[in-house]
Formats: sequence, C-alpha cells, structure tokens
Amino acid sequence: MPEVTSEILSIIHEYSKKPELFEPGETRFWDDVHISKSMLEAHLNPDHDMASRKAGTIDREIENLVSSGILKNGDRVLDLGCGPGLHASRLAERGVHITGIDISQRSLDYARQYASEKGLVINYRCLNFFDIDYSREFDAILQSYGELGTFSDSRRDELLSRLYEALIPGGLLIFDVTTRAIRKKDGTQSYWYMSDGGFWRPGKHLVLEQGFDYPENDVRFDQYIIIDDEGITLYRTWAHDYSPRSISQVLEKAGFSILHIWNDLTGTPYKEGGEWIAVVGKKQ
Amino acid sequence: MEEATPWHEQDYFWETTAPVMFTERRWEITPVEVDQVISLLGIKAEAHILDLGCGVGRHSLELARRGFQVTGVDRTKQYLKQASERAEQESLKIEFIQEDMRKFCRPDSFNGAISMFTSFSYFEDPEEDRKVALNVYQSLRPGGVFLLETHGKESLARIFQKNSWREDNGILVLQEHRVTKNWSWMENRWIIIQNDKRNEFEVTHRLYAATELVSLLTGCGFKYVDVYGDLAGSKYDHKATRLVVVAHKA
Repeated sequence: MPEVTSEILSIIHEYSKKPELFEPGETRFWDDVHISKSMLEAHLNPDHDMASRKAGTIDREIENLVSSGILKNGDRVLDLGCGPGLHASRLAERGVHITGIDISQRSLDYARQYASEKGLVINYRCLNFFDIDYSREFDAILQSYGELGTFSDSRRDELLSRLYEALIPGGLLIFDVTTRAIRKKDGTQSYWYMSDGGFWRPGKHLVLEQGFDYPENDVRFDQYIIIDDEGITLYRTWAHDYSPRSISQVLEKAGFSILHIWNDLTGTPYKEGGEWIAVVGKKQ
Repeated sequence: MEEATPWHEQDYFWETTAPVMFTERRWEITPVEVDQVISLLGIKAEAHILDLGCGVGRHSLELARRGFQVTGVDRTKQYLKQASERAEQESLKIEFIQEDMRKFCRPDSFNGAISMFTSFSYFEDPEEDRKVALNVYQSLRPGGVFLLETHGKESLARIFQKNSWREDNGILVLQEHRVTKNWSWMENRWIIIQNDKRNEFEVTHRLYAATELVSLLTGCGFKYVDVYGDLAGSKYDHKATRLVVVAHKA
C-alpha cells in the first residue's frame, strides 16, 4: 500500500466534501501519459462499454443513422469527441466526409494510423470542443456516448451555440445523454481498491472512489482520489441527466427542433425507464 | 494452543476506533435518536434504563438529561472513564459499570433496556448471544421493554458492497466486507490510517434476519416483539435501513 501521510489525509478530508455544482477536478486526465494510454485501450476494447460502446453496438448505431437516411453518402459530418475514430472510420467507409475532433492526442494518433492503413480520408484535429469555430460547414454533427452531459448548463449552452453555428441551415445534431434511471443502478456508495498497476497508474496505487448526487439538479458526479508514492491526485467526472422533456427544452432554446428521440443511437424506440436517450435535433 | 483474544475483547481496538465510531455527526444526531428510542419504548421519565454497550455514553447522557435513571454497561474501561467525566461535568447522576454483557445481569431492575448501534451479535458461539438476551430479559421488570438496533441481514443484502471507505476528521477508514457461513456471519477487515500510522483489525459479527432475531428473543421469554426498519418506526420492508426490534416482557 502506498504511504498515506498526515498531509495526504488532510487533502483527502478536503476532497471528500461535497463540491459546488460542476466544480472542476485538479487534473486534465486525458493529458496524463499513463491514463491516456489506459483510455485508448478502453476505447479499443470491443467487448465492453467502458470508454466507448461495444463494437457491435457502434455497428448498429451507424446502421441506424444511415438506413434511416439521417446520414448519407457525401454528407459532411463533424464527429465530436471522436476518440480513436470508431464511428468516424465506419462512416467514412460509407462515403461520409468526416471531420473528427478530440482532446486526446494519443487517441488521434491511433485514429490517423488506422485511417491511413484502411485508405480512409478523414480530417482529424486535436481540439477542445470549446475551441471549434466552424461556420455553416456541416450537414450533421455526431456526439456519441454522453459527453454533452458532462458540462454545466452555461457551458453546454455555449457549446450548443457553437454547434448551431457549425451546421448548415437544416443541419442535424445527433447525440445521446444519460437519464436519471442510470443513477438507480450506480448508487452513491464509496468504493476503494488497491492496485499494483491499472487504469490510473502503472505502479502501486490506492483508489478511493466516491459519488455525490444532486437530485434537485439531475446532476451526479463521481470522483477518483488516486494515491501513490508520488502523492495524491483528484479526478472528477460530472454527469447531467436529462429526460426527453428537459433535453427538448434545452435544444429548442438553442434553435433546434426535435426530429427523433430514441432510447439509444441504435434507434431503440423510446420507452420510459431507459438509462439513455438519443436525440436528433434539426437546426431551424 | 492458546486462542487469540477476539477483536471485541481488545482495548486497543476500541481505543483506536473511538474517533471514527463517535464522530461529531453521531453526537449531533443523538438527541433525535433518543427521542425515537423513548417513543418506541413507550416509557416515561424517571423510569430506569439499562444502556447495554453504552460506549462513551452517547445515549446514556442524553437519557439522563431528560430525567431517566440510567445504568450504562460496557466492557471498555477507557470509554466508561470518558462517559463518567462527561456526566460529572453536567452533574448528571449515571451509574456506569464495567462488565461483559455476557455476564451482566441484575434481576428485576429495569423498566427499559437498549442496545444501540450494532453492539449486539459479536460472539462466535450463538449461545452467547442468547445468554446476553436472557440476561436482559431477567434484568427487566415485568412489563419492561428491550430495544435492539442493528444491521438487518435483509437490508445488508440489498446494499452490500465488497469495499467501502470514509474519512472523518483526518482519519481514513478502509473496510473490506465478506459474508460467510451462509449469510449468518460477517467478516470485516478495517484499515484505519491516522497520524502516519496504520492499524488493521478483523471485525466479525453475526447477521440476523428480522425473524431470526424475533425467534431468539421470544425463545428467551419475551412475550411479543415488534420489528421496525429504522428508529423512526418505519416498516421493516424492502426500504429498511436498519433492523430495530422492540421486545416486551410480560
């Protein structure tokens, strides 16, 4: 077990207090060499839903979006948070012109390598969502796996206005977010484990996980306190849950009308109680 | 071969864990707990109450403040010392007795008895749990009432998580939980880290389903036993957070 000094204990004490809504963690974990490697491995594992959805699910998502005519051969599509390009490369194979942006250089290196091996032409850029400044360039924007739910209301609205600007009139915004139902499963108990090397660190470390719920805001967040011989680090992930009603209000305010609401991007018809909702909005 | 002293007979365990057992928050909620205890026991001030496993006197002191006559029993000398000092500061007259609950018995003496905060069910031999319940039964006067507040097997099964942790006042507590002996026994590893020092304890105790605890108590002579899901008197159903039984002596 790594050494837990009095100094570290007093930091744990500070970290364990329930924070203000959307107070950020200390560290941008996609910049950490080891964690970004773990993230990429998790994205690329076709058999679990940890960082990206399972390979079969992504296939069905693409199939749904193409067969329903939402995405067509020749469309210009922005893949927001493309990771290692799991959606982007599948869409490129179907003749869609893809621009993929992501915050992780490591994921993009993989994506570019994969595209060049397959002879796919995809424009990948390492960019923060909030640094995009496209104007009327895309027929559609795809954001898969809940990223939109990780922002505060004001940041989300700022992002939506950038996305609105990036779309042509009548362009489509396609994304998914979590619902409150997912929290019933997760609970808010604290969990810990010791590792000799794993997702967060290559060597010996202690992980203290903690969940906080803000039911009145439909917000929940998970934090991960990592202690190793180098010291202590805090990582946080926020999640804002939505209902069809609340996400529709947000989109309408941002200038979109609602074309489809499903339980997921594979097109499962909407039913109450699902852990996700997928939305297709149209720029007015 | 000499058997190791069980965890609950070690002063070092109780002294080390005191800061995380008797947190500020727990002291804060004590008056509310005592309101609820009084209401479930259905007793009036001046009645004589036995607080079995009274620890540092959280409930004993509050009961005495409200005019009850209180006898607190605990095996840990250090706890009783703290409890007595607190009582003295407030000029409360409370009788504190250092004794093992398997031995303490004062026939026909109390109107009510309480065992709070999972301080029952530590003994490996189920006969010893029975002995404790029998001692309480005998120590109560006719019409006396025994309230026992603990973790129920049913609610634990619902919320069970292998590992859990918390931090209180700069003390980190890591716990590992194992359910053994066909859900009748719980084995916990407690790792307590404070002031650059790390202590580990194996803490084990029996798990009772509500009906099992009722059987144990009626088997000792209690006439009837009410079961609740918390001290507020909620039903013991799928939402129960605690197991609270109130046993009546005829």
